[in-house]
Amino acid sequence: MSNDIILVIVVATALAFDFTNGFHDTANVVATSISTHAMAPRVAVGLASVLNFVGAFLSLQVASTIANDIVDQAAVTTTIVFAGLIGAIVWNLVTWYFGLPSSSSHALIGGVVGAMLVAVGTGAINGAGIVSKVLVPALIAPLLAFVAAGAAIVFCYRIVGRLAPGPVSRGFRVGQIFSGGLLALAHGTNDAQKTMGVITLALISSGHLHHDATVPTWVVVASATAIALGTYLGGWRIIKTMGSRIIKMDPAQGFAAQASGSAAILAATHFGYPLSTTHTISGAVMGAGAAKRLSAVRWGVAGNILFAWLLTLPCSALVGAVVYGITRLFGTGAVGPVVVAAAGITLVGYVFARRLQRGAAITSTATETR
Amino acid sequence: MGLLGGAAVPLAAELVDWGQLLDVVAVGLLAGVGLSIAFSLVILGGVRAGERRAESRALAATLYGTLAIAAAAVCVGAIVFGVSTMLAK
Repeated sequence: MSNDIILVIVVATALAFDFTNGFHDTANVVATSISTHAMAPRVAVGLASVLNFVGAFLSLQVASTIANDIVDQAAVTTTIVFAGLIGAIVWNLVTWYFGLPSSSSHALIGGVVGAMLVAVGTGAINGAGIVSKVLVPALIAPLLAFVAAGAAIVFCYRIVGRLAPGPVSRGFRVGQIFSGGLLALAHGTNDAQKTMGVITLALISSGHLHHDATVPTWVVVASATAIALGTYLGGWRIIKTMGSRIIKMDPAQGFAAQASGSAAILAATHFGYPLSTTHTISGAVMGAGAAKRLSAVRWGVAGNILFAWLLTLPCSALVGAVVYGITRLFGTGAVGPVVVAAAGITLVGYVFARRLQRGAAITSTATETR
Repeated sequence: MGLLGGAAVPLAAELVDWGQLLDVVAVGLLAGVGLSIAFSLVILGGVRAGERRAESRALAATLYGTLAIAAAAVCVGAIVFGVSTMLAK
């Protein structure tokens, strides 16, 4: 009975994390389309939300990586998963509050690893899986998106450079409806799967699923819905603040950035790599900007990405470990997770209200027109 | 036994499936750059076809129009192939 209560809390927390993931990342998905006037904000956000939902059904490879390749399934408990999720949510909110372009995926993995370290020890951590499936791809994906977008925009300018700018811009704006849609699809398929993986891990650890079970359909539908809702609601904030914060690119750059970012994310998703979509999209935006003019890139933002990349795993692991320790103060039953969840909801509500008063942080502001 | 708890820590070079990562890099580069080139050709073909038609140069207009249609077919085909590959796995 106690285990079931914890499981319900874990599923609710995981879906809340998924919601914050969508909310956190809306700007990355729609900023380029809105800034080039390819789509009206309402249309861009609505389309991103729908395609985030659809994208969640495309693949289960990343969910499988999260459930099988990060920690030892046999040693995981629902309380560990809960503590890991709280660690990820707290770190997501901290970085969102301060406008750091951090990765929700790395936060989730860090949180679970931190809680696992305190609960079981180093023996239950799959270090090889973390290095090969998380750390190395995390470094390569933004670089890939940067190089691909940079090369793509050079070719684009070569091909259309002698045409009248008006029809070219109109053409790429039409193209951005499709490339923006592809980016939203890619975002949905990689990010929603992380939640699916964590819920599956909790279901396995509580004995509701076998160790070799696939992700249940209800988990896929619930995760898809949560990230789509988060994207939709996060987007309305962007509409209010976009005038002062969203980057200005030309439509060709926007198309190249979106096409390259989505290609990198979809290729990695196919092989089960849980990427940071934030870092990958930011890399693509910077690549498209740098190829036109190096000085157009806000290199400070690139530094922030690197800084956040270095901090996210250890910090979310620390929060996950602390949350697990606090939970265990109340014993092994459901009281600890209930108390922590109640305190978390109160804290999140407070932080959320404060941040909304100041305006949302947009992480795609990697280039600007001067 | 997890890696962190083991006596020996293998190098990242040995842990990482570089072949698979190379596939990701190759596919990402090819798809990202290829889609952008193909769509640029759609625009080039479309704009030039319109211009040639206005100049009453039917043959050139048809050739540019064909280029635009072929490039658009490449874009659509690439997306359909990518999505269907993901769904098939």
